[in-house]
Amino acid sequence: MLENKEFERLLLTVQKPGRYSGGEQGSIVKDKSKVDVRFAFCFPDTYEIGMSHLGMKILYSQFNSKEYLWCERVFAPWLDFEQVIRKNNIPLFALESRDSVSQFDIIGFTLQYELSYTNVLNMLDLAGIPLRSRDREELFNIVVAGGPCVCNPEPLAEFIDAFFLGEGEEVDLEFIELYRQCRKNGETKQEFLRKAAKIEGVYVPSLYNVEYNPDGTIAAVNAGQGVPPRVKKRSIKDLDRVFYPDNFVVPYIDIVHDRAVEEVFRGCIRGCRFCQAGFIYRPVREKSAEVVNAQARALCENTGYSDISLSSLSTSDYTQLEKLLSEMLEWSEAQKVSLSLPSLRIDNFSKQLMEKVMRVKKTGLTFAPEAGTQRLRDVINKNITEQEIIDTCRVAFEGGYATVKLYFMLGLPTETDDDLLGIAQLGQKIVDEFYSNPKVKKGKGVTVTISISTFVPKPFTPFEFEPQIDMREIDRRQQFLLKSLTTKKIQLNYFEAKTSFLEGVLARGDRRLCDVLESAFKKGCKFDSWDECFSEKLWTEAFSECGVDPAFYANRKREYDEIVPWGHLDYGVTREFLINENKLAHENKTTPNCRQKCSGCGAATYGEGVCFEKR
Amino acid sequence: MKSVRVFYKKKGRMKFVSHLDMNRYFLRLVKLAKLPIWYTEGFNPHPYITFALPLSLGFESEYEVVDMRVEDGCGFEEIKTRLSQNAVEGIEIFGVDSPKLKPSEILKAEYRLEFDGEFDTEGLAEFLKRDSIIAFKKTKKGVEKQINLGEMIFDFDINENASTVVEIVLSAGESNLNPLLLIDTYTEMTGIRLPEFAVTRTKLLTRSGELFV
Repeated sequence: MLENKEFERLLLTVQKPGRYSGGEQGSIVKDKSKVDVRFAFCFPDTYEIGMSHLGMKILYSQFNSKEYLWCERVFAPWLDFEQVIRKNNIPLFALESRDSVSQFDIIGFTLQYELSYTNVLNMLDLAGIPLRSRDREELFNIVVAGGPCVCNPEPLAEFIDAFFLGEGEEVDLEFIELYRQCRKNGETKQEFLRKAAKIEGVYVPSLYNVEYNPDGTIAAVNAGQGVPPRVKKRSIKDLDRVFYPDNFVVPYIDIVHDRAVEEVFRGCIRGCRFCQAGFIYRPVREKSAEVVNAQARALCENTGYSDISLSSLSTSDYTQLEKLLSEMLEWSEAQKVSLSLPSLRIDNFSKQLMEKVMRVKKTGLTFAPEAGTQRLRDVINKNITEQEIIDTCRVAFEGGYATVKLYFMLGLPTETDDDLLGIAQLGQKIVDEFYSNPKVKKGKGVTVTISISTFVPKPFTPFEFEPQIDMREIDRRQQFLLKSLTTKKIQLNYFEAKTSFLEGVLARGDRRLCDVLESAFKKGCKFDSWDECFSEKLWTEAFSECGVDPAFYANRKREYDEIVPWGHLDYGVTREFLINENKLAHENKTTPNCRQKCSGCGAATYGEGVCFEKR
Repeated sequence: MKSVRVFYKKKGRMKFVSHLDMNRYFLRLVKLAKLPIWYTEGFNPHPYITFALPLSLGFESEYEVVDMRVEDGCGFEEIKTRLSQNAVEGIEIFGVDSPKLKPSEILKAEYRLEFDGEFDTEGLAEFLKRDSIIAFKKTKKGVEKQINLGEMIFDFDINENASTVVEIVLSAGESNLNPLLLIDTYTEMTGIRLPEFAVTRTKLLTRSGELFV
């Protein structure tokens, strides 16, 4: 590391030095001579995105609550700063101590989306750490990863020493404590990893060998001796008792979600068939309203935030929502704290609820019907009707809203041009509702924004068997939809489709993609989720140089009996259930949600949550 | 409701916090300190917090001023204690009082420039004494405007002890001279590159050179 003065001068030559300066309110500095283990928590994207992520906040606080452990934060430097640190031979550093990441015992990445994988490699490289697991021989610089993408971690299998499946609060600390013991005993990295593989939820990819068929599919995944043949994800039993931070690191610079966040439950009862989170976080487990209220209040008081959002995959499904809101409004209004509720569902968004939300602050109204026709919504098991959408908009319009944002996906299994027409028609009906309703104050007029993303089939969903439509077809459908719009009151936004293809490849990829990833990284690929950084050309080169056909992963239909790269990972939800759900989808049949009826998905094996509620 | 003037120092890693971000920081600080802050009335109530003079990103300061409005019943000492207890490292609250002067009366500021190495200080001193130093400054609209920096330098002092330190009083407020622009202009006009230096704003002053309180 450079001298502080010189380093800080370099900081002043880049955009937003606050991304790299550290020293934020709530950041934790320890005496490094007094801790046994140093953990570098790496988020493979910019500071603004990483600092908005709840999981990192939870684990940062929890790790640092242990005296023997010091956890620091590391983010991917933006392009300008990367240039500066490479030119001045400054290794990637952690924000708190400004020590090089290469001085840390454990380097942990959170894998939130596939398009951040090249950043993982770039960050290791910037730290001067060998990329491949086999090239790091010491029991030091152990590279681990957690997060939702770990449900198929195979494209990173050669780089990461151990993956943590499921929720981290328990398994991460068990792993770290084992590391501490093995270091003390002077054991080797190999001995340590063998022991670690026996901890439930820890997957050590180097202990599993993959064999392939001549057609490129997987023939077998063989677990090494003494290693569990299937690795089971971890799930927290009691959310009221699990660690939750009472303080956050509060950034100075503006970040994506700059507010206090209180988690109300994990998992989702809905079972929308495209949604990976809806399956891998099963079963639904709630926090009690008392705990949520107390934690939320403490967070606001300790951080100074005047905004708090209640977080979950579908907050209006929280069984104690009305009670919670009444309790929270008692103090939040007096303290000028505003509540926001992301992830509300259309069908149970009541007028009373809306009034409570609106008492504090009017924010935008966003819905995700995902598909344009009832038939396709049935296919994806998004159990909402057009009438419910229109009714909700009516309530919202009468309450003073004049902008509505709708999210849809393009390229869903069985989608036809009629379904695309349905998107345009639904938008039109919402516009018509606004103008035909005598109770609505017209004033500025209405704006309906339609955002279209491209469907990407994900592991552990009923659509894991499905082919992703190819680029030409995506283009054609986008153009078709654009031409179907009948009014200027509707704004249409597309997310970049080319990156969806890459996302599709990595999501269902296997270990043969490790070489492709490394090659792409060496060609300069990074920040692939950023339109200004993504290079289709470099990725195409990387695939062809490694002799890998990306369409094999993205656009190929899988048979029900194919061995998938993530087949040896167990997230509770059974393959039989996913196959059955896939069949129902093709019959346009829906599945009731977990509170209406148990569909026997397999998550009950965790012995907790909604599976054991009285129905 | 009363107006309260808070005096603070901004040091260390806090120098990377921009003016706009400081505004957000102070909104949180008053909440953390549980000050009975006064909210504006109207559609979107918000606290009234305003800084006397923006400070450039990267500068430290020994004399920053922020005004806020607080409900009656909370004394100056109490406010000072509560803010100090909750302020992050690098923000040092050293005074709370009622405002005496209007922020628009700030017309000068004193800076301390600490240089890393030695250089020809006489050359710099000669330059700073000139009546006419013509430079170009980009206005907010992007147009280059010709200004005379010579009229904007009021006083300076160069010390050469352990390190070279230049203390200088420059025009501030409505016609603001950033010391970085001054040193850049020196290099441009003379071809002499000075060693790297750190900037600290040390005082805010009125036209007559009195301390802004």
